[in-house]
Amino acid sequence: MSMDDEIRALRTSVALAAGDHVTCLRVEGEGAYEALDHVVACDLFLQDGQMRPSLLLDEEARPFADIHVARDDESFFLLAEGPSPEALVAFLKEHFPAGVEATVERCDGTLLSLHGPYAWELCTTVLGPDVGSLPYLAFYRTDSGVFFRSGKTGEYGYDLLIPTGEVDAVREALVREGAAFDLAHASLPALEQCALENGFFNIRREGRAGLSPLELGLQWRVSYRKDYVGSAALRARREAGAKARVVWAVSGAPVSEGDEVFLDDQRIGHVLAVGFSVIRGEWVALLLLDRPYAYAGIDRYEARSAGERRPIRTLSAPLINNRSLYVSPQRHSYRGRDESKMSPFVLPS
Amino acid sequence: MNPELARYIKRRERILDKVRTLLVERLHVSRAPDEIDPDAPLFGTGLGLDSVDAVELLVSMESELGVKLPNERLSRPAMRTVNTLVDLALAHGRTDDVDG
Amino acid sequence: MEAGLSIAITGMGAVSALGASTSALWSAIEEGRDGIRPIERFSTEGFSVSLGGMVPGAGSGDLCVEFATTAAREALANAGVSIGPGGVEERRVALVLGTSLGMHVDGLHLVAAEVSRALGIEGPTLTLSTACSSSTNAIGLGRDLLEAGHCDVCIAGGTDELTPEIFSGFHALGLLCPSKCAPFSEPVGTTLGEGAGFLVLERGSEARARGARVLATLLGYGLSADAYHPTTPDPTGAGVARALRGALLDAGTAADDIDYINAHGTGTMANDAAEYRAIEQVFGERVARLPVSSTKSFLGHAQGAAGVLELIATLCGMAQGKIPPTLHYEKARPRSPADPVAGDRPRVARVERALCNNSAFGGANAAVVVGRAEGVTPRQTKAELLILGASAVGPHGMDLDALGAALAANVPLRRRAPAFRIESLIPTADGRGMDPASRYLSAAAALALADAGVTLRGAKRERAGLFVGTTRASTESEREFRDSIRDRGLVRLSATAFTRMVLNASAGTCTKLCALKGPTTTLTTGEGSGLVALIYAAMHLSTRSDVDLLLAAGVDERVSLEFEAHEGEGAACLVLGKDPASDASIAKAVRLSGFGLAGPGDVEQASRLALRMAGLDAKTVVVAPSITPVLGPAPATAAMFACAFAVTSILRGTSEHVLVPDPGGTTAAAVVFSRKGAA
Repeated sequence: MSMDDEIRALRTSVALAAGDHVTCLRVEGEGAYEALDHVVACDLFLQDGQMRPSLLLDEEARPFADIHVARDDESFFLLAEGPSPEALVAFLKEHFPAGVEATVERCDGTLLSLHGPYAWELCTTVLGPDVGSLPYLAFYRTDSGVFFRSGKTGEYGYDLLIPTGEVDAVREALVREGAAFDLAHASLPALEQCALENGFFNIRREGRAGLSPLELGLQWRVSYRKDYVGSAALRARREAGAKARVVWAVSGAPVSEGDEVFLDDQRIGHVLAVGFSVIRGEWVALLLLDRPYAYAGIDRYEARSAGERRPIRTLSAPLINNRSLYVSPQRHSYRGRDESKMSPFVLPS
Repeated sequence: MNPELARYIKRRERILDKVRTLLVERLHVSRAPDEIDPDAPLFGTGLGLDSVDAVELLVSMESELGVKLPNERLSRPAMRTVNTLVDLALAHGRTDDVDG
Repeated sequence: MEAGLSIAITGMGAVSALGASTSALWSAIEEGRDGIRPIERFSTEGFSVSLGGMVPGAGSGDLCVEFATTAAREALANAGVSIGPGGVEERRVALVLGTSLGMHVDGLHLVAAEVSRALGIEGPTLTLSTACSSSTNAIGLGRDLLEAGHCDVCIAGGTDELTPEIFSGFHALGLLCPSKCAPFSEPVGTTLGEGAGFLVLERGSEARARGARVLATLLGYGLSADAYHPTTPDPTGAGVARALRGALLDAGTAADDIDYINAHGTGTMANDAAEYRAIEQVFGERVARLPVSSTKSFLGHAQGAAGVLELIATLCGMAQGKIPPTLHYEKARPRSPADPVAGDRPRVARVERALCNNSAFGGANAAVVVGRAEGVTPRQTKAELLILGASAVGPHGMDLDALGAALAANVPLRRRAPAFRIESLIPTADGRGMDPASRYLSAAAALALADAGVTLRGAKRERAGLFVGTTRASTESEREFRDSIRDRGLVRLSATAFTRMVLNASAGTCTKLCALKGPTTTLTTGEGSGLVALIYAAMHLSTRSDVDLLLAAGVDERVSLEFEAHEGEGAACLVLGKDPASDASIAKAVRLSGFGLAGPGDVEQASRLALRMAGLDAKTVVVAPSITPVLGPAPATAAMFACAFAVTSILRGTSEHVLVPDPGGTTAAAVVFSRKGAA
């Protein structure tokens, strides 16, 4: 199956993906909250069973890991992308404050993920209504796994942590029941393309460009009210003011990572990430633009690549009018869907 | 910079300021305005708004920025990030206030 | 009195969209006629909805009082009970009225006061206000009052009027259905209604002794907090499931013995899905053949009166061997009851035991079980109660020493409760948009838990609850609400502020932030509300095996905007546990040794009852000082500040036994605290 087909399935029905790129850790102990509060960049405002997206920063305030932190009673789950599991555990152990009792362990089990406007329905069918009715950024734990409702595609998304011994059976059940949902498999590049189209941060791409949450537009994932790894550097960068900011753009012609962005003859930034959107039928790009130019809704910029000039148009993410916005587990079903009544993926701007 | 572009950016920046102020004052978002990134998600744990706040947000967008939505279905794609609200105000807001 | 007495329902009365009597209600259901019509009492211009379940021919006075008085009179006549000379002594009749917000923001307790006056009731008069589960909870409290011997007859139920403000608030939240509501079906959304309903409750033995006709036995009830969101139910259904399980346990019945469920079934997407999830969890495989219907398709959503009216419909059906159907049910929503009793005629079926559930804003769920008493396991006997922790947040500051010092100095403070960040007390709490009442209450609860040395983990949270007494919604939120109507009109009122207009909004926030998932309630008696909440908590905790801890609190927020006004505010909270404590590490040495309730102003009687229960002589107890001269008047919290002070003074060895009396607004109350081990 081509990546285009994977993405079409993810945007219209359900796609199943492996979760090898995500590390799941469990932090426990009397001092679990205190230890995590000292390393995680956001305020840990979490009720039991809730999760929130945040970051682990390095001392220079650059993203080290893209995380979801979830509170399970007095313990925590950490779903992290970016560093290897070993590097992640070492980072936490190094930065947990001394004298605080907290243990970090990799969770037993294998991660699978489901994405798509009807992912909830497949979850209900295979894993039961408690999983299917999970609200966004919540998780549910049973003896047969931990089920996180997260996702970075703009669609209903579930990270399923399944005991390794049972993962084949669960995968088989998902594939079997998934047939009625036209289930497809989605590769990591497909997930990343969907993340780009929906304005989700990708640590393997723009996350490695040496930028801080200020330039990356991720201040909503960090706190300025507490101290943690990288907080001092982040404050200093905020005082100094960000010189550039990320902006999303589309182009009818191919643009490439690293292309320079111009307004007339003035260089105003460059392309951080790019991919062809089969849903929009054009190229979508993440730009890093100088602050005075970093706005959505402008069609005067150009990307220059190998001497070629390609007009680009900046716009506000998300770039997809996701079907998941309109599909409700309480009212709809994949079988009863009416394609003719669906909102278009791209709204006129 | 071309004057038309400069005017657009100024207009956009002014609406962004208004949306930020509205979020802080009317929706009680406990952030300084400059911490509210244009691409910050409104719901989930982005700025921490919920379904009840969504109602207040629409009413505030109307009273503060003159946004009159032609139909309710348009509100969903507009209520995703701070920037999509700015887009909404540019498309459906009061023009006098926006230019002035 | 012993716990586990059977409580008989001997009378009922109803005023609803279907007419001003129980027979009008049932005959409409028999004929498949709903009471939903275009609203005429106020203008619905500018709204996308114009339907309501309005009481036909309602007058123009205070409709909450009018509905309630009519329904209560019918219930008494139906039970053959007269109050006063030749009948039941006035002081031995209690009124428990459930109501949401109505038009009585300045004194929700005044509705009950007027109803009591009209009926000649002189016993305890309590107002339960947990929004849409108010009357269900009121019936449960009525049971507890009878078991504790605080009355011989209890008239319990609820009343609410559909006002333009409530209509506008639900409209703004997008909860109203454009056509007549069709629970579990299409289209989604609810239709609001109004009315009043009352049951006459008596101890079974006494009812039988006087030859009364027993309609059914009130077998048990359960309360729970969602601890999730101000208006949206916990979508997993776990909150509602706790209330259902609590009711079944209290009733001593297994889920298999329930023949019919009358669901809250508002018709909204969020409620119906969450409620059915809960039913699935509790009833398991049986849901495939368990009739679950919603009477709101006939009555509309009668808010605080919904629970009792739906229970009356259920009882009428049981008497006839029928189940009320769900009207307007055409197309099933995914994951809705397998058997919604769809149709326009009741189904002929024998129902021995029925379960009725209601849920509310603030995440307050309540369920009751009614039916035949045979084969029911009696409930456990009463436990002794300990005070495990105490707190007081007010003009004196945030600790008990400061309260003691302020009382010793005896100088009016003339200031507000302190400003503080809630995250400093509850690190996982997001303080965004919390009003002062919610902040005071949450802070007091967190401090009291800390004082008790209790950390609630895992399943313990489901066994810990919160009972609150207060007199009005947050005045700051109320101003925001009124201002939004003045500035933007009813159609665009502030939905956020509207959700805080229910009396239990602060309790809802507090249960969420402190993860208190057990029983929750909010009541008012005007002055002394906090103390009455403490007594209710004591009655509830001592008779239930599924609850370990109850926090009891009073909360007040200033009305005056004047900086130096002599007006008290804040919250005071006690943590109640059972002896022996479930957690051996807890060893506070104060007992709640006695409590008493009596009619308004009759503080002597309340004190006598409390002392008698404590086995003490009036001479051996110290009376707690009044805090009002120092902190300023704080109607709901004053006596709870005094309780916190009393507990501290016993722990310090200053006193052995302390009596806290309050003449109260609609109910006089008194409690006695004793040093553990003191004679």
